[in-house]
Amino acid sequence: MAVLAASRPVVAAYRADRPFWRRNLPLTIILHVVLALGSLVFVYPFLWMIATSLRSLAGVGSSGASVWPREFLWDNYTRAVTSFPFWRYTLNSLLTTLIPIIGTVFSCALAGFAFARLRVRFTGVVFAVVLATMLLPGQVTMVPQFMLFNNLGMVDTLYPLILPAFFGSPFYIFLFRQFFSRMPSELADAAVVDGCGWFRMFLLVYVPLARPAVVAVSILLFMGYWNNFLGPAIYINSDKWKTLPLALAGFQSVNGTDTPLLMATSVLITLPCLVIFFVAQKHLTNGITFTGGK
Amino acid sequence: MMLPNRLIPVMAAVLLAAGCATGSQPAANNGGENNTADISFSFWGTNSEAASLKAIAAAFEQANPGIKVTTNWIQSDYEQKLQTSIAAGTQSTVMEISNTSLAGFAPSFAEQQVDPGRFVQPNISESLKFDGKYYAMPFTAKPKVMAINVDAFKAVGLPLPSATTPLTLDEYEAIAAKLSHGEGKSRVYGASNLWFKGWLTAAGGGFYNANATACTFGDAQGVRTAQYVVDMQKHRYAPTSLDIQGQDQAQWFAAGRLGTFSDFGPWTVADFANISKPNWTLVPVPGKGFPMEVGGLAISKRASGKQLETAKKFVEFASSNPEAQNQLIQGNTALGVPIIAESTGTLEKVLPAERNLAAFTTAMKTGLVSPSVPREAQISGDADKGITSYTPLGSGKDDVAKILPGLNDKCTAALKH
Amino acid sequence: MNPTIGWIRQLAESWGVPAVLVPLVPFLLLLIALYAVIGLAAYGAKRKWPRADKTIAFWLFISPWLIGFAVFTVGPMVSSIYVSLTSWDLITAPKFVGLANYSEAFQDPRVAQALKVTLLYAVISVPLQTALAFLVALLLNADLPGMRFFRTVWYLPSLVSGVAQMVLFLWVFNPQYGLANDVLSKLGIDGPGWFNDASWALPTVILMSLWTVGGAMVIYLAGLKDVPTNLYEAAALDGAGPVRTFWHVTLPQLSPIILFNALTGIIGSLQIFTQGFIANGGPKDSLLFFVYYLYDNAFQNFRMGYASALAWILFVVIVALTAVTARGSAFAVYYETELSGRRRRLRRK
Repeated sequence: MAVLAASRPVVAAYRADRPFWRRNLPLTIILHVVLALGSLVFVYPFLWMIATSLRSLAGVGSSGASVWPREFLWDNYTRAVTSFPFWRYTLNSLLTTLIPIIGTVFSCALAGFAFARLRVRFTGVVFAVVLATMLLPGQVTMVPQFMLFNNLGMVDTLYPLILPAFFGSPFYIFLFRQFFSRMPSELADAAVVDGCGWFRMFLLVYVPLARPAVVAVSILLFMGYWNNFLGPAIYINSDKWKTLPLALAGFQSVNGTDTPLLMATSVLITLPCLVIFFVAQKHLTNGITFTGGK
Repeated sequence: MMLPNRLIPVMAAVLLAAGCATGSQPAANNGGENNTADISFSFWGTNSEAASLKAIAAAFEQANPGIKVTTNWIQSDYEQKLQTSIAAGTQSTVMEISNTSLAGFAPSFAEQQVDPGRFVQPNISESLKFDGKYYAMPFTAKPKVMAINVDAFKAVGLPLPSATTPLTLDEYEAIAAKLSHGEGKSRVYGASNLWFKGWLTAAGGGFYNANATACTFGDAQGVRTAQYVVDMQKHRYAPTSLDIQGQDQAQWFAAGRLGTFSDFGPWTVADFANISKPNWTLVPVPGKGFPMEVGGLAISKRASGKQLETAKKFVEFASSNPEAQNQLIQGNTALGVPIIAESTGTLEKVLPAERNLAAFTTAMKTGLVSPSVPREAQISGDADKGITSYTPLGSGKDDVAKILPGLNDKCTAALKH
Repeated sequence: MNPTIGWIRQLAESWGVPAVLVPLVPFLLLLIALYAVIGLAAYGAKRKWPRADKTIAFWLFISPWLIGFAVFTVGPMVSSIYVSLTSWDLITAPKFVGLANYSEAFQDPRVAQALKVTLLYAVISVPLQTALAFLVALLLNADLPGMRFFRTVWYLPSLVSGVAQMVLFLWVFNPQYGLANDVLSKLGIDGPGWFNDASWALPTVILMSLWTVGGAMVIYLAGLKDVPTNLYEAAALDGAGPVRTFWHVTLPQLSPIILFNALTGIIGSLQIFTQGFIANGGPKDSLLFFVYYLYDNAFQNFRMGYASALAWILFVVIVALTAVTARGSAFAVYYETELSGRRRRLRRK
């Protein structure tokens, strides 16, 4: 009940002249305590991971649940970066993340715009097919796609991880379509009156306005592609094309049971996602609203 | 353009898809068709092992100026990656292969001429035969020895085991019992975690039978060995696999928590080199010893022309030239023991004589090799999963006498598939 | 490799294309050829039907998706049906075996186990995750100071995903040295084997999945902010207390989002792979997720035909589950007019 009461800020603002937390101090405190405890549970394993990464092999067995590292072996991080071709793997991860982001945004924005603004006879049917594709498990096509890329001679390269992104992804087509359909239709009318072709209109009018959606989608895509594991596990055989998650999975066959080093490597791999999240936090909530754009 | 425009893109796409889909024959050859004499070389291993192999490749390049050897270090799932690359036609010219996996890949390798007399022991080259022919050139052997904590033995008044004669399994159990003491997280164990497959061979049995037609880890001998391991763990003379999960046993040994360490391979020397206290030395593994893995170099069947010549020279160089064999030892770690008489001393010299690295040479001269079966990784992997899931040899609790025979039969059935 | 493609590649190599880009050349050439055909068709169509430029534009705009659909989805699906009727190990030629793969799958105890593990996971973790994410979103929607900090903290764990997450939690749940059992032992409880215990492994994975509700939570937060304020005002005017407002205003407004999340959650959870792979199937196959079993058969045992049959079985299961969920949702989900046109179902009173 308290939760429900607290979650109606609108009503509170409408009804009261003082903010909620002043009107009901005990409730506020209880909520804060609950949230703080919950946050502790959520963040603890994370802090523990960082603490373990700074300990020595001996310290790891004896430290238990403590989050304070006690030893600060920053050397573990230097070793993590030098014990395998870390920068090469990072480059591969970046290539299989950034290029597909561009491809996905480009192709999905195009398609989303078409479904939102180019209503012709088949728009509805095709859009339904797109949505149905969203329900398709990727694994049904996993084996034949492997054969396809095998025939194209692309096994053991990064191309199978990059190229499909340029051909659209149903979920993001859906997002863009929602976004574009919320835009006022006067924009289109004005452009048509000015004698603009559809593509020019798309490029010059809608794309600049789609920035929040593009940013939010890019962030979501980054998280997804950076941590992608099944694709590299299938296609990448040799060392020079490995991505970071793949390297992490193979860690123990390379370094033996070196838990602090393993944790240090995991922290390093998670770092870019963290950075991006902190930098772009507000764009995320802005871009994926379902009733949207100005 | 009479066709409705919307149909054309769809048709073209479907045609493309159909064309690619039906073009799914096995990979057409694309290896070795050009005039270059450069070769590629795939291998697996940890950091230190990879260093040895890269050094061998570098030594070959130095001895043959103008020829380039591109190394390809496959860090995990080696056999699977090898198979995928063979299917895609992207396999390297020379591939490292273990004697245990040879049978599954021999059809993709070129036959080679191997001189058995060149190597320290006939088993070494024998292990790389398939169907009576050689399909890989041996270049190293990986025997196992056992490290013992000399100070711990002296503290309880035990005589040190012989440096040349192995203990029996019963003697070993008695010794482990005497060396174990303490409670809880600081308990000192007389033995290290016992590797079931190794002890099968030490007890006189094996994972497979001699001609690789059946699995034998679950026969009467196998169950006895399993019981031996389980009892050692029950009495807490040896830690279970759960006890050592996430832990480094070399570090335990250095901290004095292990009286003996039995899965000591040539690569373990590096971990132990820095241990001066407690005082330690090497002795043979009890019983008949652990199975000795033989590392071989195979040449792709699709190699031809100048590449084939270079490949042959390379494997010859790696296996018989002391320059290459000495590179097996990098600093104080070794990928394996050199298999030619001229180089066996190189490993022995890495540490002072009282460490008795000569035990490796002895173990290599008497070492037994496991037979090779096709699809080795899958068959033994499935059997291992069953063993570790259900029995105390892993994390299970069921009786080994009940579980192992069933798993054994499944394994044999898989072999015959 | 297809011989034609091989020939194009050799051509490219002889033109001096850098080795890294050589595999791309045949693909690009095919793509250019395809778009040439499309371009000609568009041009021809424009000549014939000059006022159909909207239609032409539509098809051109969706052409990337359409090509991808044909090449990466439909084509492979068709060829996957064929492969599932063969026995093929990638190296030797495929051998036609009819429905043998399917009959083997129906008798394979590991298939039953995989389905059981995967369905259990989907059916338990998705509702749990949805409920937790929704609850947390409600909590964090409150207009209290410090909310932004909490929102960040609760979202953070979902950034650690895939392999890194599994690696971390294997260590967190290590029975001897891990975080979980250490905390439990301080409370006097003897912790279980977690990932090493066949009866605890799947609950541990479910527990682990609750850690990353941050992603869904963010979507619910966005949805909560979107509930039109006039609805709340009207409810307040009608004298509705917090519970009734929640039940009659908040929940129905959010129901499409909940449904969407539930559907994607189910589909996602039926495809979970990384956890199974890192845990190697788990003790006694307790973490033998279906997609991992598929991967194992295809790329570790090299039984392409069998794996393809398994993939189709998975497809049928997903479609069935989705249909059931969507049908069931018809009774509970309230759609805004805008989103679905004529498909408007009011909540039953």
